[in-house]
Amino acid sequence: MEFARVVGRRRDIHFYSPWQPVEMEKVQKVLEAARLASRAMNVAFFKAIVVLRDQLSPADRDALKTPFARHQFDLAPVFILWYHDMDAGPTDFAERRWPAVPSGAVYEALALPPLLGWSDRYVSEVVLPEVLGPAWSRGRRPGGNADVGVAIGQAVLCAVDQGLGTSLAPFSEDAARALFSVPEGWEAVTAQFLGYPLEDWAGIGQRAGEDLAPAVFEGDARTPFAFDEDHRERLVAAGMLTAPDSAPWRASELAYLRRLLDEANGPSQGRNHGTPLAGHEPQEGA
Amino acid sequence: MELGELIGRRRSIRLFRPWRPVEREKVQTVVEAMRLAPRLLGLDLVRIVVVYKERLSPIELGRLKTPTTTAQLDMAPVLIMPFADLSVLARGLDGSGLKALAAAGVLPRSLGWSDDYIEATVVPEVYRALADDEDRVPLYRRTEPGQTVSRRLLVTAVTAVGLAQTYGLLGAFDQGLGAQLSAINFAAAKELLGYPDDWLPSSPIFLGYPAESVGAGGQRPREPFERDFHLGRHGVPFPRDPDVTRQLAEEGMLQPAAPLPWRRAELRGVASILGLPT
Repeated sequence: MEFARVVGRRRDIHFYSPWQPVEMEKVQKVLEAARLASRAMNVAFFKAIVVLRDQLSPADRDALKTPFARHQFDLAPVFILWYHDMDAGPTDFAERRWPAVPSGAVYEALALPPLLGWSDRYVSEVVLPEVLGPAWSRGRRPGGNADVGVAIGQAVLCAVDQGLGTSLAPFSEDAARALFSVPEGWEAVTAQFLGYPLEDWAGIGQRAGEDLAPAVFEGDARTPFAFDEDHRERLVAAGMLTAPDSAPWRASELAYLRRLLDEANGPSQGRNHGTPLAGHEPQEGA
Repeated sequence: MELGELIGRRRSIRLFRPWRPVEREKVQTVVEAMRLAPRLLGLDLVRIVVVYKERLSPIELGRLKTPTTTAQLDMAPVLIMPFADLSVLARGLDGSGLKALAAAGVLPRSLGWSDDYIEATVVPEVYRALADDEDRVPLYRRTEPGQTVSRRLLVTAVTAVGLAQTYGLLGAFDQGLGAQLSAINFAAAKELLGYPDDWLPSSPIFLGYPAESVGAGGQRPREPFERDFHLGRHGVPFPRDPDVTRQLAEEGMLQPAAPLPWRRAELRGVASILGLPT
């Protein structure tokens, strides 16, 4: 699918088809897309553990749940637990590990052009002591890394491109560490859920419920970016911009989907953040 | 462009045509894409400032440079600088943002997203927990020493910015532009742009028409797939199916590895055009 349409169709999917497995080749493609993402100094700050829902007990799934991620662990057949590898930079620096910049691999691939001053000598005399050394010789630096988000972004888009539903939500870091033997140097970032969507992306407004205060500026941080509405029409035609508000039938869709869950007696009544389905009569918004 | 090929074509472009401006509508497409990236925890964390190089003096431009960002700053006509607005969390503590998402059918009430759940569970267990978090780490990107922030909030904020950055990069390449994430001097950027103290800067997207060829000499090297991805638990490599990699090569996501045989000649040619040393 074209990039613009993939962007336009992506929504946070909450209802996954629990009975339809995700093909492993689709999971692999999602990972391959993440691996090709931009990264500073060619270091893989991201790491991931792919978890197959059916290989976990209900109790283990419950342990992973958080207030933002409950049903997803019961409905989505696959979840990718994304981590920030805090040892990646320091290890690549200390061991000159291939293919990070300290190893010389990127320079040898002529990706860092000599005409911009990149040379073995520049790397060894300037980049390593002035940039990477101060940053990475102090060891682990918790608090995430934007490059992990960059990689996840490509994984999300690739999932949508393959017709999968996907969403991002936090998981219990402590539970995952115990369940999946996660190294100490890995910091939890987010779970990415994968499955075939039961809900229709077109029903969920692209900007529904959002605060539309200015968030894009130009020249300085006080001057709002002047968006050209004619160009926005072209982005609508390209499929990137879609209906901002949820469809009139969104409430009905959610009501039907709830019947499915009710008939299944609520797939999750776990001890952590179990979902209050029984006796719960919410008014669906749309 | 098809997404798979687009991901395969993306490179960190460092050589831009300094004489060719970027059309305003292409800049708009990039920032529209960035605004459509997934949000985390229902928070609208990302802010963006578009910087036009032609509006900067040579002295201002020079102050933005770092050891890894030099001539590309002279060549790229546009910088798109993303931030995480950390003040968003405080504004979300009343739960009104989440309630609006639930009312709009984005957070399904069928799955328990009632106003009661938001007020009694999500706000105290997530938002309030982040605001009061004692697990704090230094804000190393800030100029003031000693500032700390909730580690979990920082993870969320920088990840949200990274998501927007990847949408922006792909949006650039989809329009035939070149782009790169690269460091700049954040202290100088703060003086120039006047962004609030609560905004945490990240690497800008350098944007321009590439002076290098499409593909810029081949796909960059990557560590073994099995080093990054595990199945079921850490230590069990995710099995990489060669049939899938073959298919991805046919679709253009996996491309010939750098350097291509003619890359050195290309760089010499571009150097002579741009007046750079060979």
